[in-house]
Amino acid sequence: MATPITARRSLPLLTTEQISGLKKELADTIEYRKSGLSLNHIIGCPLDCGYCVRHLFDNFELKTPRALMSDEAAVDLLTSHSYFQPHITPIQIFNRATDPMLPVVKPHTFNVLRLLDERGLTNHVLVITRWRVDAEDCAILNSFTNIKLTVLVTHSGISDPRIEPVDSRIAATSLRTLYDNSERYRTILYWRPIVPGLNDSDADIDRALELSKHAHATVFTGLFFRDEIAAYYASHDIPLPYDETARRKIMPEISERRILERFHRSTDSEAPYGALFRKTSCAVTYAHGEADYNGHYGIRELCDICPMSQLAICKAAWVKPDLDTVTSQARLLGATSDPVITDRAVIVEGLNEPPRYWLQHTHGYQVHDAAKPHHHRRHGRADIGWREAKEEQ
Amino acid sequence: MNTPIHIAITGTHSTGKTVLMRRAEMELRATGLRVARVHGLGKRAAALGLPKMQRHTATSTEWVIAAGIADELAHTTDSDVVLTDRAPIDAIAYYTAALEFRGEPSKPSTTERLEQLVASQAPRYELLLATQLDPAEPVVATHDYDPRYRHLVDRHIHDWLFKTASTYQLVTNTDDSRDQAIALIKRRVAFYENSAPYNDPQL
Ligand code: SF4
Repeated sequence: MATPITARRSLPLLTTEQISGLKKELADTIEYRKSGLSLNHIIGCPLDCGYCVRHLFDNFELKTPRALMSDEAAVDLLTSHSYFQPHITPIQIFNRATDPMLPVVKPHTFNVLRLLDERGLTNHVLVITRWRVDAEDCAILNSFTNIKLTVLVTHSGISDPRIEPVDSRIAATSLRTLYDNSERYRTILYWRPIVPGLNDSDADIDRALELSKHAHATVFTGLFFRDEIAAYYASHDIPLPYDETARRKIMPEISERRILERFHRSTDSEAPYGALFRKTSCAVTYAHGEADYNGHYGIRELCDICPMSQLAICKAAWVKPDLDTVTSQARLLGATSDPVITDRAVIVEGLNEPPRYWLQHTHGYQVHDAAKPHHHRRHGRADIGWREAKEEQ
Repeated sequence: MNTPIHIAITGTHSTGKTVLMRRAEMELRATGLRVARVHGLGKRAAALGLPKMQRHTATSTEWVIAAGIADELAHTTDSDVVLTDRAPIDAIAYYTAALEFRGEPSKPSTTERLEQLVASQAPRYELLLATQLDPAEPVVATHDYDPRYRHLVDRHIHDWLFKTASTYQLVTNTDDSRDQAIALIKRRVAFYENSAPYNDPQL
C-alpha cells in the first residue's frame, strides 16, 4: 500500500474573492433537484468525464477539489434551508461538482453523514460515486443509525477514453465491495449515461446485467446533453452522439427496448425485470423497501418494469393529496394560478423547480408545470431519439 | 517554495501514453495535489509550420525539446506534480528515426548537440515511464500515420534508453502493467511529498 499522499494536506477553503468569481449556481451550496436537496460545499473534480454536468457551470477547469465552507456550516445551511423538512426531504451530497469518494473529499463526505445522523434525521441520503470504495469505507457507511443511506455507483461502460477517461474497472470493483459489505446502507448500479452507438451494444448490456447482480437495484438513464457539453465534445474532436442538444435526458426508445429485452426474466412473474428502474428515486426507495418519494406511481407507464412487491408498496402509499392543502401551499410558494390535481400529477403554474420538488416530496405525488407538458412514454426525457419513431407512426 | 516532482513518459505514438498520464493526473488530483500535465507540443509545432513525424528536422527537434523544457518550468510555482507527456528523449528518437526513415545520414555534430540537450534534462525526472509498441494492437490511423516510422521510433527510444543506461519503468500493453505504472507513480509522489519540506502557498 502506498503511503497516503493526503497525510499532510487538508482541503483549502476558497477565499471570498475566489468564490465571488464562480458562476452563481456553483457558489450556491444548496440546490433543490429532483432526487433531493443537494449539498455541494466542495467543488472541483479531477475526473474528466466528457459528459459531466460540471460543463454547465464553466467549472471543468476547476480540477482540484476546494471547499466553500466547513462541513458544520454546510450542514447547518442545509438543515435550516426553507425547503428542508426533517425525515422527509431526500438529501444528496456532492453530486454535481465533485466526487464524494475522492481521497481528499471522502473525510468530508463521512463527516457530513455523521453530522446528519447525529441529529437523528431519518431522511434519505444519496451519495453518487464512480471512484474507489473499500471495505473500511463500507464499515463507516454501515455505522450510521438514523439516515437512510444509498450509495449509487456510476458505471457507463463507455470505452472511448476521450469521453470516459476513468477506468470503468474502478466503479465495477467499488460496486462489488459495497454490495458484499452492505449491512445498513444500500447500493445501486447507476448505469448512465447510455449513448446509442457508444455503449449500448449487446456486450455492453450483458456487462451491465452481470454488474446489476452486485447491486440492490439498477437505474438506467440516457445522456444529459446540453450545448456546453456539445461544445466540449467538439473542442476535443469527439464525434457528437446527436446532432442537437436537449433540455432533458436522452434515452432513445430503441436502446431502451433492447435493454429491457435483455433484462427480462420470463420465468419470474414477481420481478420480471429484476430490480431494474428508470428513475433514481424508484431504485433508491425500492432498495429500502419504501414507496417512491417522487410519486412516479402516478406515471403508471414507468412502473411496467417494477417488481410486484414494490408496485404494491407504491400503490398503498400513493394518495391523491388534499386539494385545499395543496392550493394553500402552492399560493404560499408563489403559484400564479390554483393547482389542478389529476390522476397522474398536481399541475401548477408559475412555480419553478425547487418549489415544485418541495411539493412533490411533501406529498409523494408528481408535480408538473403547466407550461411543460409531459409526453406519454417519455417522462422527463428528451424528444431526441423519439422523433423518428413519432414520424413513423 | 516547494519544487514540484517531475514524472515523464516516453514511447512511440498510439501506445497509450496520454490515457495513462490522464489517469495518473486524476489519481493525484483526487488526493488534493495540484497537477500539471505538459502535452500537446506536436500540435503547437505544427501550428508554427514546423515539420513533424517522419519529416522532423534538427530545428523542429530543438524547438520541441526547448518548448518542453519551458513548459515544465512554467509550472514550477503552480503545481505539486508535473506530468510530462513526451519526455525530451522522444524528440531525439523521433528525429533520428526520421533520418533513418528518409535514408539520410545524420550529422554527428548536430545530433550530439541535441543529445546533450536531452541528456541534460534527465536528472529532473523523479520517474521515467516508457511504453512499448505492441504489434498486435490495431492503430486508428491518421493521415500522417506510417507504421514503419512508428516502429522505428519505438526502436530508437528503447535503443536510447539502453545506450544511456536509463532507469525507467517499462509499460506494456496490458491492464496489469498500466495499473502497476499508476501505483508506482502514486508511491513515488507519496514518498516525495512526505519527505520534502511542505509549504502550502494557500496557508
Ligand atoms: S411502482 Fe412505479 S413509482 Fe413505485 S418504485 Fe416502481 S416504478 Fe417507481
